[in-house]
Amino acid sequence: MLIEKHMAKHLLVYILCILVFSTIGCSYVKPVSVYDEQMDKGITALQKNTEEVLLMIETYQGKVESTYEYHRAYYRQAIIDVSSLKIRAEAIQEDNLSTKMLEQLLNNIIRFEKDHIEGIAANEVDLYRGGFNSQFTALLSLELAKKRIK
Amino acid sequence: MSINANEVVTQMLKAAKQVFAEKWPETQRYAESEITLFTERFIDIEKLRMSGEITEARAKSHIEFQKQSWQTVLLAIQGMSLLLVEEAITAALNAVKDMINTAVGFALL
Repeated sequence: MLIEKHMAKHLLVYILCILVFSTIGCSYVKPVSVYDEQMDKGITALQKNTEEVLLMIETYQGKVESTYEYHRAYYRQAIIDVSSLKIRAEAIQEDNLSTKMLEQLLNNIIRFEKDHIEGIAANEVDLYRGGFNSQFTALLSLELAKKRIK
Repeated sequence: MSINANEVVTQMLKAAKQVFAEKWPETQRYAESEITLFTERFIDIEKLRMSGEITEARAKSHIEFQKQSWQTVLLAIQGMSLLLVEEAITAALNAVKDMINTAVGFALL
């Protein structure tokens, strides 16, 4: 009887530990929301559009096709698209990592626009391309990781 | 039916370690690759500045651009690590689910 009581107590402690462990685990991973196909598609489309602009700046130096005015519509749409993805990400889950990452992408699009207004040389394009691609890859990699888990 | 506490710990740790062993290297490779790329870009910014091809103001703008980009990468790594922890916890609980449920006599896990 005493031995059975001891085993039952031991078992209860163990089960409580597992429940606490799993609860802590669940709240610890809260900053990562669920996979969103719209984010996946949105970022992929934005990467393509951004690359088109970068390529034209690089290829058509000194010509109208490399100027800010020629690509003004890209900036307008890119800001709208990223803002829209941010709102969506926040609606899915407050204060999550994807929202912060999109905020950083938006900051860089605005900075890219400012620099483009002043003029961007062909030998600078790879810097923007590399920075943007790192951000796009980061966003997509995280979405794909969420897709695998969920 | 009694539970062997050591067995539970062993099974949970084994399952969690398996997840990290399989999945962590991919995150690590991604982090290392991005670190290399950012280092190269910072060197390129310095070269452009030193050769006079860009102004100091533009060089600073490029640095800020890369810093934002790097922060995005770090957040992705943080997210992937958190997902890995979640996956490891799930695997650990699944490893001992039958053992626990049998011992308590109902589907606790």
